[in-house]
Amino acid sequence: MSSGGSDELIYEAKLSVLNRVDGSAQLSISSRKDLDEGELGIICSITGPIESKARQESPQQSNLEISVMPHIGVASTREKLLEYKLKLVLDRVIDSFEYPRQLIQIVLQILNKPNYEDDTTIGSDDMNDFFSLNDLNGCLISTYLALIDSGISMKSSFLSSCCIINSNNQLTTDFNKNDLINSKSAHLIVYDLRNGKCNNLIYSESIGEFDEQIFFKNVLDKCKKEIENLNTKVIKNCITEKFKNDYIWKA
Amino acid sequence: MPKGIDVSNVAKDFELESLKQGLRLDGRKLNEFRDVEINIGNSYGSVDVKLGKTRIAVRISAEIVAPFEDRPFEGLFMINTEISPMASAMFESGRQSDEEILISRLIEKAVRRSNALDLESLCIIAGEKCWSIRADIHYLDYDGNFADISCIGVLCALLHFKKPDITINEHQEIIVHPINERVPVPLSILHIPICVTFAFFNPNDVEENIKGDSNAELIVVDPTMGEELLAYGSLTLTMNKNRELVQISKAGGLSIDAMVIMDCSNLAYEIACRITDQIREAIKADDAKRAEKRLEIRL
Amino acid sequence: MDSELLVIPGDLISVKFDANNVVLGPGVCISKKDNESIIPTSAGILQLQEKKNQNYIYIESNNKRYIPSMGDYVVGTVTGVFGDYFKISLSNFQSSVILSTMAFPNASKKNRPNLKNGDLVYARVSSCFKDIDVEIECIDPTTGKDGGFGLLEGGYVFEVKLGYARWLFFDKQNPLLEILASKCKFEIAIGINGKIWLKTDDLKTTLACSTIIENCQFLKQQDFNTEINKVFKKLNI
Repeated sequence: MSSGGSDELIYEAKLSVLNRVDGSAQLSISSRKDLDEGELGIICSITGPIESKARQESPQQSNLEISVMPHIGVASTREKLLEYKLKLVLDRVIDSFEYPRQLIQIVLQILNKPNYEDDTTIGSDDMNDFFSLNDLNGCLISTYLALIDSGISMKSSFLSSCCIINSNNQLTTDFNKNDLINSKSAHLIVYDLRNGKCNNLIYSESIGEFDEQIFFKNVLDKCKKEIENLNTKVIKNCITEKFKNDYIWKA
Repeated sequence: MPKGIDVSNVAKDFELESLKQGLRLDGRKLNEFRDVEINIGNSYGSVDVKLGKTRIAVRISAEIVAPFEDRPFEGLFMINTEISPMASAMFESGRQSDEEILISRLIEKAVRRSNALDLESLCIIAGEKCWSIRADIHYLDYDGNFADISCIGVLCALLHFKKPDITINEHQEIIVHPINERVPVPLSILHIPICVTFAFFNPNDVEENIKGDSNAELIVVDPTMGEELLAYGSLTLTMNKNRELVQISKAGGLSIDAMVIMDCSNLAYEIACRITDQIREAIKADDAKRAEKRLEIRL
Repeated sequence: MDSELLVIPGDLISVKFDANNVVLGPGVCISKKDNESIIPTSAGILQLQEKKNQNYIYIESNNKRYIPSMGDYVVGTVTGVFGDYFKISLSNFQSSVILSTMAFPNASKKNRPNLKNGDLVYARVSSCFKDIDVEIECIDPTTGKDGGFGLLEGGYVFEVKLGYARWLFFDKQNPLLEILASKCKFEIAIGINGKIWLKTDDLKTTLACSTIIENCQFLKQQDFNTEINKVFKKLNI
């Protein structure tokens, strides 16, 4: 279990948590200042490359089957949209030409959601977009960790970060319901990493109204910093711990 | 054999031989149930259970709906037992495997039809409004015996769950109070059914089993995945601490002597008592922790 | 072992080597941007070795999923018997590999090997391309004799992680196997696909040895002896 983070969020990550699959990771993101807010908890499993059904086969590339399961209820259109967005990022990152005609099966199970999402006193319908963005952030990071654990070929490492611009025009990655209701926009940014530094922008999604300059200067910078912080403080330790455990019998 | 899993004859023969000598591959005795590990989460009704390497997460949620027309005094309770490829690649997403259907029916009989959760206590306004309780079981890791662990998980989560307090005002409107305003209300659980699954193995051939008197059939409690794949039939008994047999399910498979069921019931009763105590202990420990936290905040 | 550096996909490897005689192993590939620099495609410990004027570069990691590779010794299960070949499964959920009936010593059209569904075989990967079926053979290509390959009877088969299986296989004086050999006699066939077949004279010893090998994956070498004694004691050997 590796934990750490910025001054706004606490991340906890652990690899190889499941026995039956080829790679797995468990991630939890919680607020540093408001510990009773609860956490976003996601577990990701990867099996592959395995044999795919004839109708799913792709002659020169591998196929990705992604399933997102919510913590309450059955998977709906909301989860389908999350799966679609994840596939957009993973198609870029996974070296699919390495495993032609085979299938890589990715399953994400959302275990816990922050408490503010349950509070139905204030209209939640408008908030669903924000919640989905936050979920996508958690899904991306846990999928990356599970991919590392499974050993599937990747063209590069990637991490993501989600931030909002609140009513005081401040950027923050730590938000609760009141912040979301009064915020002007929310952004999800995914960068690929090279030697611990953000390199190319892979995916970006924004909700709300925002100024172009502020987006390209402040939002991207804020997310870059958050991603690099997450990488050095949590991800690196997590991977080092995994390898220490994997080769414990060598010493 | 489920699609994708290939077990060699070497493994099958070795496992059967070991069982004949009273040895199980994970070192347990034939009548030994695996250790149950219960972890209660921060939200009410959120429980993670481990049975050896098998692992599930259960989440309870509640909402207010209209009751069924033919049952105006009862609330609703449904259990979702969808197994995803996370548990093992042999479960396909979207399609219900045979295993899933059997577990779903078993939990239905053991928990719902046995009235473990008192549905009448969920009624708010007869014929108009009632609570609908939903249990979602998330299967995370498969090493055999999803049936027993599902039952333990659902019961533990139901015992832990608290629904928001409500008041009905003079206009017959329901006011739901958030849990940080008014203390939430636990559910009314009438008894705690615990499922215990036995798997059968045939040390001789089929003819000997049907015609012979030898009674040499081997029975193990709480099969792992390897044992489940090679077993020829299973029996699930659901009992509670009041020594009541809630349900019994032996769907085909190997024929066994009827008196053997008595022995299995006795063993199932012992196991059910032990696990019921363990569940109650876990809930009590969590209550104490919450009370301590509330005290700290007040101070 | 020249260096012990943990890398993740996308990191730039800043090691100088002669680009002409470099052999790329698993986990690394040539960057498409400049066709020169080498980037890792999986996370692991970077290994750079020099043998007979050739530079070998690869990533060492302990995964679960086996990807067939030329010359690997593997333990497989027969899943289908056809006219002139057998279908063998090397790991669960993966496409089967082909074992030709002619890939045995003294093979002929009339002399078909007697394998049936469920049998366990020890074989060698003879042909391995990404786009076509992988083929294995039960014959030592240099001598033409069986070389220890073929049907495995009796005993027990179990799975371990790939890095651990490689360590058991390649380390000729493997400490775990040596201590075990001093306690009891056993026959072992280690598959690079993570499957290990073990056979001793009696069932209890076989169960004990396989449990020990499985459990030692999670222990330090100094704890091997205590584990072995614990398992033997529990099974009354």
